[in-house]
Amino acid sequence: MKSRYQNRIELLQGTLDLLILQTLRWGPQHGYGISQAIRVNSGDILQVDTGSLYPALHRLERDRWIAAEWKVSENNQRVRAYRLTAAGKKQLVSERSRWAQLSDAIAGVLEPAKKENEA
Amino acid sequence: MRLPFWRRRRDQELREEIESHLEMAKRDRIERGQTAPQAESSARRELGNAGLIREVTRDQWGWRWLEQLFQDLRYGVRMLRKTPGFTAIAVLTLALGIGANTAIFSIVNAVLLRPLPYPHADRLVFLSEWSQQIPGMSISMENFKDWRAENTVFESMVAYSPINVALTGQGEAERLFMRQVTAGLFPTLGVKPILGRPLTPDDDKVGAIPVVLLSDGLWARKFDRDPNIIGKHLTLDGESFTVIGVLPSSRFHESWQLFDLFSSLGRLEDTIGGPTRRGEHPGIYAYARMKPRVTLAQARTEMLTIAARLARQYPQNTGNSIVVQPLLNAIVDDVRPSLLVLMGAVGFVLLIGCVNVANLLMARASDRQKEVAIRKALGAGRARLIRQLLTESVLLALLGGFVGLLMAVWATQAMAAAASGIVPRIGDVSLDRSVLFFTLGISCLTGLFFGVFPAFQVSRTDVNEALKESARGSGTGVGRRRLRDALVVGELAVSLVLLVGAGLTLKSLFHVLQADAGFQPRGVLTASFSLPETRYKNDAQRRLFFQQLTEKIAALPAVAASGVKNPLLGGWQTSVYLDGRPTPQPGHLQGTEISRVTPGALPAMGVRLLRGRFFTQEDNEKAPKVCIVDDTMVQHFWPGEDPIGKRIILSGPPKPGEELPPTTVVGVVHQVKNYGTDQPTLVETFIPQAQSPSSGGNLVILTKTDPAGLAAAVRAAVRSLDPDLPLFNVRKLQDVVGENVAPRRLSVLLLSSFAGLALLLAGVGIYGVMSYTVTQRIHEIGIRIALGAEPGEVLRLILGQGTRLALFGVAIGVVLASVLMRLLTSILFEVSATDPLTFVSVVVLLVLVALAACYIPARRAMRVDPMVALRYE
Repeated sequence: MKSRYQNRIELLQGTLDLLILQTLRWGPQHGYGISQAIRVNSGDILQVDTGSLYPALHRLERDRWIAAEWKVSENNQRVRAYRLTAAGKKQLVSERSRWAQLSDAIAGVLEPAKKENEA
Repeated sequence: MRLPFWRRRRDQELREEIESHLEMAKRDRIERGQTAPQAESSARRELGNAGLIREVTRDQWGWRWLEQLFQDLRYGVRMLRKTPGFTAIAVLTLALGIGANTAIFSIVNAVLLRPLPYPHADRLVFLSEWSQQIPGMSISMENFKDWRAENTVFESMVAYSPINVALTGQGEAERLFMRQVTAGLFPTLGVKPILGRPLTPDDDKVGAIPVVLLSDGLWARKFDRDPNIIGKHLTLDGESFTVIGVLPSSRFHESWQLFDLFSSLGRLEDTIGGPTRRGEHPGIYAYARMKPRVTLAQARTEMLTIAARLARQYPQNTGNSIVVQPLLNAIVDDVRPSLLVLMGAVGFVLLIGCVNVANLLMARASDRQKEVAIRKALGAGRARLIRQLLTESVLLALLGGFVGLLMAVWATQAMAAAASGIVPRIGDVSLDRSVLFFTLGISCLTGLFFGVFPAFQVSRTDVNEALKESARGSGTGVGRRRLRDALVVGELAVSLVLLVGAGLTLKSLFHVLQADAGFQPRGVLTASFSLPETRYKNDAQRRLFFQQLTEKIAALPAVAASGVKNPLLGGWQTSVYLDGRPTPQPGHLQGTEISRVTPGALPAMGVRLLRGRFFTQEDNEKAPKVCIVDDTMVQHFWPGEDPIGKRIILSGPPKPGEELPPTTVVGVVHQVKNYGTDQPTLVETFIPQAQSPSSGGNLVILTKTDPAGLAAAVRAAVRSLDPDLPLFNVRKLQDVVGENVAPRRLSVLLLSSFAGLALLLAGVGIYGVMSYTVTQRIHEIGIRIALGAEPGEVLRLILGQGTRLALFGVAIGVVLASVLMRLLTSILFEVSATDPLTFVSVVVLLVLVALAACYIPARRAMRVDPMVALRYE
């Protein structure tokens, strides 16, 4: 059981971090809120697994890219809310550019013919 | 699994975080129209296994290794508690080793390492003059002034000189220690008066009003901390001094804490300095503070250049130079070799202790093989296993370190008490932060060191073999036994090195005690006095006092012989040359120590006359100048000739300004080893007190009974002559001489104790290995006996194995010792570092102890009942 979760973390790692950081750009949010935001913003395509979300959140917190604080939600419930730190903002910028490079590169690999045609 | 305490709160928060996640998911579902139970179950399904999520999340916190360490520690504690016997022996062994190291290190730390108690103490240097004969000679006032004026490397340079003064008019006359210092001394050291003011340059010149500062000790003892002491007058040696301040003694380093009074040295410049006195070295030494960023090498270079120029410019300085030493080195250099040797010795003791514990652990490891195999089978990696085993051994070492620290507290106090007055700065010994760090550090290192062998051995366990073999009690592998044998051989070798070291120093001490000192201190009482120049103004007055004093003392009951000698042991250093021959070039002069004696002094001290005669009452101021020399001077000047009647000239006079005319040799005595039989001495000359009266001296009284019992009568005799004259240093000559041997005695005592401890541990070590071997081979021995082997053969079998180990260890130890003992050369006396007798005795001793240790298990082997042994299977 444990190894199954770990594999999925590894699969998602880079992208999940990026998605979390991006989501927190709009303001502090708790874990459930982050997972809902990712789901809604991706048009229900990306379902974040809770078993991946919390390890990722705690890892990002350990790396000091996000910070956590206990707050009371509008429903009067104690929630642990995360916010982006200054270091996290920088990290987001660099992860976004890495992601852009990666998707360009993958696109290049997937459609080599097109490039040749253009040339 | 229990989490460590610092994790429990955070885990509780995580639990709450996931709980809130679930709550929100539930609420969303209810809002979308599900019933509460539906929402609950579907939210839970979506969440998955909450416990597992928590665990994977916890892994992200980092410090995972710390958690594992915590687990390992808990496990280790459990293991140690399960085998209390093993734990006690191991902890005790380690505690002895670590405790000895901690104790010696705390002394090394206080004496050699800790800076002196002054601001920027590393910039303080000690200055003395250098000549071929006297490398650490005191400084001539004129040279000091030139050094001070010409150097560019020092912020300040100050001189000081110790004297004794008599305090009168404050109850009974009392002898006090005074330091005469130049004005900058207190600022140079950074010590400020707690009351009044320091010495100013105006106080420190010729003609200034005499002023004095008190130590706070004297201030409390004699003046009851009177805050109005400033401005009062004290009579010191008959001269009136104005008190200007009180100094906090405890702010000085140890040897300065003894001083009661501080007065100006510069005020006396016209009597100890001046152009004609450049060749005089009146007991002055100097301190200087280097400017920031000036290195010792720079300071040395510049001062050597200045000294060389002064040596060219002034004939009195020919052949002289300067010594620039860091102040701390000047204080502790004498004891450094002994302390480092002791540090090495305790290091060896700890090494032996480590080997013993490693062996114990390895013996125990066989019992744990099954446990390790099971852990391995359950998926523990080798690294993880080693880490766990090392955690256990470090835990053991830390326990040993803790007990050792407690032992060290006691041992350090005992050693400091024994070394008080022998080792400088020993009074400052304390268990400070660096000692605690040291103990912690060596405990951890020790644990890793003795743990690493068994840990690797155990972790190599083959799962299948171990589980299969388990019924037969595994672990008889040849490799394992070899390692254990090698460890025992190693510890025997190391203990041999220690024993040889102890043996050589012991033999040195024996030689020092046996060697001929040239005099006989037993039964001699000594007491010092000093005639103040204000009341004893001329030679006639002094002669009269000496005359009356010697007569009064000689008339006391139980006095066999008596006299006055000044100084008590040794003398002023001066040069000597032959009358009638050309004066040798300066720098090639023969040096001699010269002392003044009354006729009875040399016989009272048991100095042996070889030729001619001792002084008599007739050798007085009206008679021709005479002297007695020692046989080393005879060998130097008149080998093969009769020295009686020869004439010598003693220059560099003991009394300022006085040029001694030629004196005639009337007697030759056997050389006197003034500073201990192991210390070098100059050739020695004695002159009659009456022909060169001094202003003080030391009574030497050979008694027919206990010398201490005579002290009161001697005091009374002196008081009847001069009630204002205090007697001081009243003690047995034997005690004075004993001080010379005390450092050596102490280091021999310590070194022998550590060597004894090493021998004990090595004996225990070989015993442990051999009895383990017997247990392992009990089956084989049983078969041998069943097949008809005689008990004697079995005994020989086991003893033979032990002897082989012992001989191996001895062979390696002898090689090791013959290399290492060269480091001891500086503390040995008349013993070669490879003294065959010592080596042979130690080898015999060690082999005997090893055999004795093997004998107990061997006897057990001999008595093995074959039936029992075979059933043991």
